[in-house]
Amino acid sequence: MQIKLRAIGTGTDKDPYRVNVPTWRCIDVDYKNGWMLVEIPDDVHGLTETDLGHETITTDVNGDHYAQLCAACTIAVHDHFDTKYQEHKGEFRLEFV
Amino acid sequence: MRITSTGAAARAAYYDRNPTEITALGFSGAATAPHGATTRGTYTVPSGRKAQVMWTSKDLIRSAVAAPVGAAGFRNILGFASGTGALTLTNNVVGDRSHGESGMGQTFVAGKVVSMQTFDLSTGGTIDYDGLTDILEFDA
Repeated sequence: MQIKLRAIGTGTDKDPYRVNVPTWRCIDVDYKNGWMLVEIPDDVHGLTETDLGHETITTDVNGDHYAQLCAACTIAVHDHFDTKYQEHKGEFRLEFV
Repeated sequence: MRITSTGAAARAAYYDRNPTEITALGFSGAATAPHGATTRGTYTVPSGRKAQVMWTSKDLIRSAVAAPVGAAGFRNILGFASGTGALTLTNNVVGDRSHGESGMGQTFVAGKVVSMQTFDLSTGGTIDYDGLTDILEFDA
C-alpha cells in the first residue's frame, strides 16, 4: 500500500525525519509540508484489497496512493500493528497529514 | 553407555524456519536536494520472529555541484539507536561517487529496528542515492 503520512522528527541524527510505522520504504518526501509518501508491505498493514476497496485513491506525479484511510481501516491497521509487533504495542500509528 | 544429546538436530536451521526475504528496506533517490537526516526506510522484527541482515549496499553519486559543498551521507542504523559509520561523499564534481557494501550477518530479535538514513549538509547541488538492505526473517 502506498500512503501519504505525516513526517515526524526534526532532521537531526537522533531525531531524523520519518513516519511512525514499523516497516516501510520512502518513495517521496516533502519537508516543507511535512509529509512522506511511503510503501507499507501488505503483511505489515494487514488490510486486504477488499478491505481497501471503499477507500479513495489519490493520483498525482507519484502515482496512485492513499492520502487518508477511514476510521475503521485505520483502527484495523493499528490493531494489526499491536498484534504483529507486541514489543511496540501502542507505539506505531498511521498519522495523516 | 554413553548418552548424547541431538537437540540441535531436532530443529531446522534458521534459514529453513519459515523464512521470508525482506525487500522493503531500500531507497533510490535521483537528484536529491540537500536535507537533514531523513530515514528512508525501516524494518521492525515482528513478534515471534528473528531476522538476519544478510547484506547491505549504498551508493552516492553527485549529480549537481553544490556551493558550498557539505558532507552527504548514507548509513544503516542497527538496533534502536546505534548506527554504523556513514558512507560519506564530500567531493563536489559531477560524477564523484562513494560506494560501500557489506555482508553483515547480525541477527536481531523481535522488536529490534533496522533502518537506512541519508543526509546532505551542502547548500545547493544534488546527489543520487541508491541503497538496499537485504534481510532474512525466520521463526524465532
